[in-house]
Amino acid sequence: MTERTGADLMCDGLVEEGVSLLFGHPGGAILPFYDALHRDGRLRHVLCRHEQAAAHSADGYARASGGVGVCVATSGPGATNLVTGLATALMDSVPLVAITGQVPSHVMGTEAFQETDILGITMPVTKHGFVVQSADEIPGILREAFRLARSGRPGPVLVDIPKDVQNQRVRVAGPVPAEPAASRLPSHLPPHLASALERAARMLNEARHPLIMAGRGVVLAGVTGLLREVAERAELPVVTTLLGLDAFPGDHPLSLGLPGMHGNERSNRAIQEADVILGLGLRFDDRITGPVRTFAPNASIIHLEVDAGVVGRTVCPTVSILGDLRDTFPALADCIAPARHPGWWTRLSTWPREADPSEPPRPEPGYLTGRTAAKGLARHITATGAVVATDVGQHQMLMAQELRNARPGTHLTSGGLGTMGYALPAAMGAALVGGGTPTWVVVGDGGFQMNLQELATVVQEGIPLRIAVMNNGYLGMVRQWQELFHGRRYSESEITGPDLVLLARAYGLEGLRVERGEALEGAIALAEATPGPVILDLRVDREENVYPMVPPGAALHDLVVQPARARAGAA
Amino acid sequence: MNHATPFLVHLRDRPAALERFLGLVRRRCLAVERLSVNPGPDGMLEVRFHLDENRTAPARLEAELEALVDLARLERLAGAGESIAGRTHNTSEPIE
Repeated sequence: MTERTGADLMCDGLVEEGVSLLFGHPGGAILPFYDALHRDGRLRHVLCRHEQAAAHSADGYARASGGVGVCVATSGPGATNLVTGLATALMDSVPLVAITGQVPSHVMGTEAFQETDILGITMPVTKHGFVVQSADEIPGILREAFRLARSGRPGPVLVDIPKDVQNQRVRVAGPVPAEPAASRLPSHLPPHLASALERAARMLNEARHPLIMAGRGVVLAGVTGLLREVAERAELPVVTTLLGLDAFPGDHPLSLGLPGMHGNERSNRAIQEADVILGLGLRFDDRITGPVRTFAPNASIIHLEVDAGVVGRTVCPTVSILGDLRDTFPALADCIAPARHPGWWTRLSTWPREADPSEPPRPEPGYLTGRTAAKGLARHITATGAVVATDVGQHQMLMAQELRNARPGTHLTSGGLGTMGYALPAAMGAALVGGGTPTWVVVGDGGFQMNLQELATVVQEGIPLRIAVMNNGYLGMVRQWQELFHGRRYSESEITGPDLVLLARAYGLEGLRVERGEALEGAIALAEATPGPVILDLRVDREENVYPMVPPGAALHDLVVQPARARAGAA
Repeated sequence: MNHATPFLVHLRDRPAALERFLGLVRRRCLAVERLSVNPGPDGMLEVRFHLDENRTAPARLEAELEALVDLARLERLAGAGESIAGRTHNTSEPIE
């Protein structure tokens, strides 16, 4: 029997879960844990400058590594600053454990200094939350928190630990042996599941216009290889959602790319003309479907999903198969027969796969447009196998249209919540996974200014990020909507910002400005060759719009291509 | 015409278990009516309520409640104590 404090047990519990890296910010109510961290020495801590960034960094680490991300904050404002990061992770199914300090138990409920009911505040944005009431609960609760974060549809779990519990000394018998992992699968599929699989396979095998829609669940379940095998076997076209972009190689001949509001024409029209759609690990969210009554009007839908709450929430499937894709998809795959669909592929090839098939118009020769910048960055990122974190807005959609990533965990973006300020801290986490994979941040000037304080963290930790800021002096997507739907009244969407080259130097990074298209490739190469972090200030067209676009409330087949170059007679 | 289906739910009585249940009902706009809470067996919270089937399908409610870590039992009742569909959930073991 040895005597350990609650804070020691927190370190032990994290190490037992395989954690080696934490992102956080200390403060009064979490100081006993930081003291234990200091003397323990087994865990690396990255001191983020804001707790929101700590949560996003843990998120980026989790997405890139496939493990659980851990963030730490103190009570009160430290804890509330995590909320956006937790909501981002919940929407995008990212396994996180957030540890917060809490005021001592005897003053809880008294409006003590830096007290908040963080369990109550985070309830809608976490899978579950715990308040630890005694130090001897810590090992079991941490184990349960990690299990919940990983299991089923992954997501964030909060563990709130009062300061006195962190200081409490308890006698422990030694490490508690980990429980054996429960088998996910019964040895035989239940009869109702077997019949559903049989029906789904029959529908796919008899389909004339079949289509696969792959979401992030494919990446989470690690079935990207099987997806490719099945698609090739039956010549099935594959569309990939924003969060599933890295579930299927974008340059594969069967890839149709991104569907939905800023999806390409081939992808959206394929959905509208498909007769059977196999949805794998996705939510069928509103940015993908448009008005549900207009979505895939000719299709019977098969939905394989782990989250029971998602099935039928928007689109009503003909067949739904609930369970881990690791179990259900191989069972279905076994029943899918080899096939060819020449007529369907002829039809698909009449619609452009590229979001922007022709070069965008330029106000003057050499002018740098967002499209040109995205094409250049995406080409480089795809070719080098780099990880890229994008923020939210026009650049996010341009990159999603242009990227052809092939490896899971290489495309990080806030798809569900749409969190501006996500990219920089998320990339920090991804870059620290190890392995030396180059990591890029692509961000707008609006989102960049939401978390640019993390440049200090980047420099202090020596994280060699390549940060490309698509700088147009606007909140670009807001401006686009104001132009298209609010009579060009640009209400509070024009923004100024610092000189990014000077800002880079002030923080201790390299900074380069690019104002003309012909300078882009050289700047990217220079950034890649720079050993430390670097900012590229890409001065792009100020009033460029992202197309194709499905206007809000319109069906997917009513997408608008670049208006000035709309193709005559698009069916 | 109001089609109200009675349900019985057992929640593990842990901090904020009831708040989590009610929060999910609110967030997912589940048409829960006439809700009552009582002590249940084995230290559980027993929640009884009716679901307006015109606004929320029972299967939808059952699917959404699956996400609750505190859920120990969910039973759809046909009427006074008559069960037409019963399921026992075991998505989480109690904390030691």
